[in-house]
Amino acid sequence: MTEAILMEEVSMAPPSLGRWQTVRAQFFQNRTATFWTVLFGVSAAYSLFLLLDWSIFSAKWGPGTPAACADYSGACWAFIWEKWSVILLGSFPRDQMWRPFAGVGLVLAVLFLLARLRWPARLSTCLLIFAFAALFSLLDGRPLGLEQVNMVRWHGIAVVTFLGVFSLVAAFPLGILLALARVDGPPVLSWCAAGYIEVIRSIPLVMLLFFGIFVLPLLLPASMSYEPLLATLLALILFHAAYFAEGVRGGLQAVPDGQREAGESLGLGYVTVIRKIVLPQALSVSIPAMTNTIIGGLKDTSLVAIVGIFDLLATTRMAYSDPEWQRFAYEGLFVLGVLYLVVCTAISHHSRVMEQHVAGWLTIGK
Amino acid sequence: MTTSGESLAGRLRLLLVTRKARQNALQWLVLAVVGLLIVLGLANLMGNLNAKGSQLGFGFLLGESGFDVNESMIPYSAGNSYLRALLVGTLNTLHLAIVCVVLSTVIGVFVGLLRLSEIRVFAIACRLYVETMRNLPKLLILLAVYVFLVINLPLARDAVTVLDMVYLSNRGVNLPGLRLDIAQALTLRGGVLFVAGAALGVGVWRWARARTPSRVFACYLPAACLAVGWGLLSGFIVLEMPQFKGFNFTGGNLVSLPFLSLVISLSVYHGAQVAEVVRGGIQAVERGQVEAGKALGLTGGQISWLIVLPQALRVMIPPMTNQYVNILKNTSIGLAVGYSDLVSIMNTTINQTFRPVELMLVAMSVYLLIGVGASIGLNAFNRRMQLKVR
Repeated sequence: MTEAILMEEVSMAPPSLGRWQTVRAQFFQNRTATFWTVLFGVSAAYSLFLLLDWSIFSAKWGPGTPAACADYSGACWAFIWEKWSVILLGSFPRDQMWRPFAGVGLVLAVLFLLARLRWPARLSTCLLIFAFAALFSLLDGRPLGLEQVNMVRWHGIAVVTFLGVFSLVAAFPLGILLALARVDGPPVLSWCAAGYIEVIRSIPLVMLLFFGIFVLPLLLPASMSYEPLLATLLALILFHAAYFAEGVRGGLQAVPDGQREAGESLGLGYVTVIRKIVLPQALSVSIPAMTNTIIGGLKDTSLVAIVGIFDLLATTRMAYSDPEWQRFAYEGLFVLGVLYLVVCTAISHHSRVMEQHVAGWLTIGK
Repeated sequence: MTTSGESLAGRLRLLLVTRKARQNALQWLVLAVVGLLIVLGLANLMGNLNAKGSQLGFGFLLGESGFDVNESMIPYSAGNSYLRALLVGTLNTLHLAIVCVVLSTVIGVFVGLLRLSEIRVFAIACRLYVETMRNLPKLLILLAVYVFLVINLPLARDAVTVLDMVYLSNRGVNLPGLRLDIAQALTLRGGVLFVAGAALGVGVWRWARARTPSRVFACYLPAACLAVGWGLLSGFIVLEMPQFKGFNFTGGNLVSLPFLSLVISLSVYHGAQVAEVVRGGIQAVERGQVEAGKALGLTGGQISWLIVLPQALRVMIPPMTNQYVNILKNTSIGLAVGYSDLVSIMNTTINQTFRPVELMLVAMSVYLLIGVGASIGLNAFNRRMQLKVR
C-alpha cells in the first residue's frame, strides 16, 4: 500500500494536458506569443477569405466570354471552361481526345497500384514497361491500328506523363548502376562514373535539353529519323540518373561492410550479395534523397517548355496568349499550381509511408 | 595433353577465375562500349558537318554578332563579336546569381530561425512557405511573378515614384546610380582630398579592427559606407537620379522587368531550400549550448547570433555550397522571360551561326568553371571554419 503511493509520487511522467491546455502551452504561453498568434490568425483568416472570395464567391463560373468576366471581381473560370482542352492536350487532334486521357489514366492507375503494393521489384518492372508501351501506342496510334498522331502534336498531360514519369523510371536503374560503379567498381570505371555524375550535376538542365535539341541530331547517322521529344526524354534520363546515383551512393555507403561480408561468407556471389543484401538496405536508406530527386525531376519537366516542347506550362501559356483571354493568365497558372501541389504532396506523403514501411526491418541508423 | 582449342578455352576461363579479373574484364568491356559509342558519335558528327559543308572551329566567335542584347553590364553593341556577346551573357548570369545568393541567404536564415522559434505560429507559417515552394516548379513561380508584374505595373510615363528617386513602371525599377568621376581626382583639390580620405579611412579601419570580433558588420560595412560617403562629399562619386525624358528614363540604374521577376522568384524559391539547410544546421547544435547561453543571461537574439549560428555554420557550409551552385544553374530559366543570360545568348548565337557543338562546349565550360570555382572557394572557407581540434 505505501509502496504503491510512493510509486505514484515519484512517477516522472509529465502531467497529461487537455487539448485546450496543449493549445495554450504552444500558442498562448506568454504575451508575445499571444500577440503573434492573434496577428497571424487574423491575417491568415483574411488571406483565406480573399482567396475563397477570388476563387469561389466573386468568381465567374460556367461558360462565358471575356467581356462577361469583366462584371466579376474574382476569378474568371470561363477561361478554364473555354480553354481546358488546350491546357490539357494542346493541339492533339480533338477527335482522338480519348487516347491521351486513356493513356495517362492507365499510367496513373499502374503507379497507384504499385504504390499500394509497395513496389515489388519484378511486378513493377513488368507493369512499368507495359504502361510505357501502352501510353506510347495509345498516343502514337499505329501499333493499335489507330490513326497516327505525330509526336510533335503530343502536348500537355501526354508530354508531362511521357517525359516526367518515364524519364524518372528509366533513370532509376541507370542511377543505381552508376552509383555501384562509383562506389564499388574497379578504379577506371569508378573515375568515369564519378566524372560523369559531377559534370552532369554542375551544368543546368536547360543546357542538357539544348544539347538534346541541337547537338544530338548531329551525333546520329543522317539517315536516322530524329524526334525532339525522344531527344528530350534521353536528356532527362541522363540528367536524372546522375542525381539518383548521388542519392543511392549515400545509401550504399550507409550499409555496413559486415552485411556484405556475411553474404560472402554464406557463399553468395557478388550479384546476389548486391541484389539481395546491399541494395534493399541502401535503397531504403536513400528514400528521402530519392524523393527529392523524384519531386525535383517532376517539377523540372516543366523546363522542357524552354526548348519548345509543349508541356502543361507551355500549353497554359498558349491558352492565355490568346489576345481575348490575355488578362486571365492567373486562372490558368493557379489551376496548374494546385495540380502540381496536389501531385507533389501525394508523392511526399507516399515517401513517408514507404519510410515507415522499411523502418520495420531496417537496422541501419538504429 | 590437351588440344590447343581446349587450352585456349581453359586459359580464358583462368583469366576470369578471380573476382578482380572479372571486374577488370567488365570494366574494359563497359569502357569499350562507351568508347565505341563516342567514336561512332564523333564519326557521325564529322560526316554530318561535312555534308553541311561546315567544319569545327572557334574562329567564328570573333565575327560580328549583329544582334542586340537587352541588358549588359559592359558596353556592347550589335557590331561587337560573338565572344563579347557571350561574355555579356556570362556577366549577366553571374550578376543574377550573386544577387539571388545574397537574397535567398537572407530569406533562408530568417525563415530557418523562425521555423525553430518557440512561438508556434512562426514555425507553422514558415513550414507552410517551405512546403509550398518545395511542391511548385520554379518556372511556374517565375511566370506567375512575371505576369503579375506585367499586368499590375503602370506605363513608364505614369511610373510610381518614391521621393522622386525610385521609379517603378512596366520597364522595371529605376534606381539612383553612383558614377565614378575620375577627372575630379586629377585636380589639386581632388588629390589632397583623396589622400586625406585615404588616411582617415586607414585610421578608422585600424581603430575599428582592434575593437571588434565581427569583421563584416563592424569593419567592412562601415568602411565601405565611409568610402562612398567621402567620395560623394569630395565629388569623386556622383549620385545620378533617374529622369523621365521623352519616352524613357535616363540616368541612374535600371533594374529590368525580367531581372526583377527572376530575382524575386529565384530568391523566394531557393530561400525555402536555404531555410531547410539552416534548420538542419541549427538542429545539429546541441541543446546544452542554448541552455548555457540562457544561464549566462543572454537574450534570444544574442544566443542566436553569438552561440547557435556560428556553430551551425560549420554544419551548413557543404549543403549551402550545393544550394549556391543550384542557384547558379537555375538562373538558366531566365530565357523564359527574355533575360539575356548565358544560355539565352548561346541560343541566339546558335540560331544565327548554327554552330551548336562549339557554342555548347563554350557554355558548358563556363558553367563548369564557375561551379568548380565556387566549390573550391567555399571548400577553402569550409576548411577555415571547421573547429580545430588540438
